[in-house]
Amino acid sequence: MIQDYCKLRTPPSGHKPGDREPCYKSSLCAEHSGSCSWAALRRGVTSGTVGCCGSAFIARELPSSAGLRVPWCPAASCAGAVSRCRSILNAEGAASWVELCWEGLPSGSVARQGKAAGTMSRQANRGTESKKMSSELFTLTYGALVTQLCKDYENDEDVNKQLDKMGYNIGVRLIEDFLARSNVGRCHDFRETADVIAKVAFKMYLGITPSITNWSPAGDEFSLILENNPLVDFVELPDNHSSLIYSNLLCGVLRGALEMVQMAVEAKFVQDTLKGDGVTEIRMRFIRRIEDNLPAGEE
Amino acid sequence: MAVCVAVIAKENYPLYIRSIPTENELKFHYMVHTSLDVVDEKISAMGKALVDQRELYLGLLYPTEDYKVYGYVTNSKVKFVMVVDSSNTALRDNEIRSMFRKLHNSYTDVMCNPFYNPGDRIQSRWTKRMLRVLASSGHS
Repeated sequence: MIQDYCKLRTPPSGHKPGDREPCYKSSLCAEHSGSCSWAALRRGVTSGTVGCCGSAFIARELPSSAGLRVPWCPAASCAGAVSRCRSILNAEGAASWVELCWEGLPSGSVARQGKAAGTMSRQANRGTESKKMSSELFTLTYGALVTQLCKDYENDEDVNKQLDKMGYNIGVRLIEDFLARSNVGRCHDFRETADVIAKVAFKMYLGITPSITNWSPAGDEFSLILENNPLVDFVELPDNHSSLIYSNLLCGVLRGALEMVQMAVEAKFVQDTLKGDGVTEIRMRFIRRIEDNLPAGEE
Repeated sequence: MAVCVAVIAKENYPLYIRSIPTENELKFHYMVHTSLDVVDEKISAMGKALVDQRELYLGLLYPTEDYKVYGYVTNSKVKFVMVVDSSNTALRDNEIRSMFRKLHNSYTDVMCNPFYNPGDRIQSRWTKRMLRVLASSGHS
């Protein structure tokens, strides 16, 4: 019976219960397991900071277990995203392995090890780094999607609306992945939001860093300038689709993602390289802060 | 200087054909058409034994008194035919090869356009630009 360890990793052979061993949350951590949140919980401590990994925790009851208290990250956005933030159950009768919420951990190295150890979770192979993928396959897939929509709907305006709706559905899900991978905190104003979108989000998902310009005097509108848009490599719009907004999916993604963090925004393309302009420009406008609790995926 | 460039589909119909002196275009159409026989002969001659080692560049297909015709076949049996002025003796073999390679690259870009259906005539703006580049590069 293993008593004194984080259950992320198995203790080395030859260990006896009661032996003092380093914390198994991370090979970087030399702290004794006694300062790990699990050990703290067993001692009756209900909140604090984990000595080994530095993340704050509070003790909460795991929804699925009867009365079992587990360490849980206290961040508000984490508590909402239960599907990704789960806890390790004690080995005495433990049913499933899940990952501790890694919010608040220093940059990724410990998180990677922790995630690697949570093997039975569905997201076992997702590291904090992005997987490499052929950008040509991505571009061709998006192109096939748009041409099929054009054949199905025959009318450019309908295609634009569908792309926006699809983008919205992607955005409401993508925001969870983004918040988990990027560890950014709450943005205090729209300018910070703009910076995070351009420097972190676009870089993470498309590999490009657009620039932010043309702030309105009230500070609620700005433009994202993309010099090269990976969605439109090799694409030429034929003349019978001149009012098609090819990359409208991006507008939907931005709108959906920001709506999930309680910001209603409007995104639209004002310049497009496919139509002959030099750069691609997306204009984002802040409408209002959303106070009600909207159910996710309402469309 | 390349006076005529043609892209021929697998079924031997032209996807794109353009000649630079626009008068007497029909003569170049005939030349390209007759060169297709030579191309087929070259492909089948290399034939079954060497199909892996067959080079894409076919070389000089046939010379006439005013012009020389060069050919290039891709692995998907799309043929590129280039008619060059005989008087321009400065054009060397590897220049012709590099012109064909550029043509092949621009054909690949056209294929990657999601709005292009394979088998359609090529009306892409890119190809026109590329051919202007090819025509001008022959001068240097």
